[in-house]
Amino acid sequence: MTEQDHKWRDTIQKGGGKAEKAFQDLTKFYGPKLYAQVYKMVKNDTYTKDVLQEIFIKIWLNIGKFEGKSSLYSWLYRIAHNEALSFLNKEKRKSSISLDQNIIELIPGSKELQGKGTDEILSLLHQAIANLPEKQALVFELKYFQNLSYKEIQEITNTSQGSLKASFHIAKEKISNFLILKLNQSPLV
Amino acid sequence: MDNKKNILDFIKPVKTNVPKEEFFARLALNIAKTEQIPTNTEKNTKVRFLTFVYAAAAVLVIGFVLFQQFMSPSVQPSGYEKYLAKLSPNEILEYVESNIDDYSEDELIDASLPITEEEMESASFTEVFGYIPEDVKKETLEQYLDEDFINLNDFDENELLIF
Repeated sequence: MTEQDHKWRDTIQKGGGKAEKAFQDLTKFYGPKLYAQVYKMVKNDTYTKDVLQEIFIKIWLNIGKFEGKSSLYSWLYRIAHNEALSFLNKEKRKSSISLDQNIIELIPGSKELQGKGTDEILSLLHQAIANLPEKQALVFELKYFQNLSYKEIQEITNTSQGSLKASFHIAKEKISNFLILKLNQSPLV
Repeated sequence: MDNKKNILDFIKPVKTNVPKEEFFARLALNIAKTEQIPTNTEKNTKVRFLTFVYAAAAVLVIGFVLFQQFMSPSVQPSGYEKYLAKLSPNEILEYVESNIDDYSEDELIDASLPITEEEMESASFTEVFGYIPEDVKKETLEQYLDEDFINLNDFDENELLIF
């Protein structure tokens, strides 16, 4: 947990006016990252905002109990992931949600991806990410989807850049293998 | 497809349009205003109350133990023996003379003399010690004899005189 995360948690825990300000700062910092994470799963701005509200209510009410053994972002990432899944499962909205905007684009040149739709590939991507260990999933999310630099990810996760690079590399390999397997094609060399 | 490329290189994530900062600031403020955070006040009150209770209990226990120690007579055998060791025989005699009228000086001197080996060999238990301790019951003696497989018939009369 970063020094800033500690300050936010401790200030919120104490309550009062300073707690509200600290919570605002925390939400402004992590909100966009969690929004992007949830949006990829929920695929709709309104629903994403609904889910985000639930996420931040949970954070507000429970951050005092967060012991700080892992980075704050990994705790938030887990909450966001679970809330988004819960939303999709509860409402059975998985199939009925219409995309507000594209989440991925397919670049021509891959035989494996020929004739595949972005929805299908995105669904496979979600499945592949769900199979990753949390740390790898988190790094993949921040690096691949949110295009953050390793330095930025390091500041959030309090992990060395070498470790982040290794995690991202492993995650990418696993996801790639999963996609190829699912697309029923031979692995890339 | 370029074989060296990973399949993910052909899937380009589109940057998500994230709401502006004001949205997140407002979201946080609304939550902070509407959701009652479980403040530490209640928890702290409980913790403080429990701490007070434990402290009070500890004081009571320590006080009770100290009170008992203070009230009970302190037995310090080593101190008592040291004190007696410092007394000279004359001082003891003086004390006995002034406090115990029932005993003569000669009796007390005899009683204080150590028993010689000759006396031990020639005299019976009752002659040396003058009595069999009253608190030893007959049953206790019999039980002792049984447990140690001592048969009184194995002893001659002189040996049994100590009893």
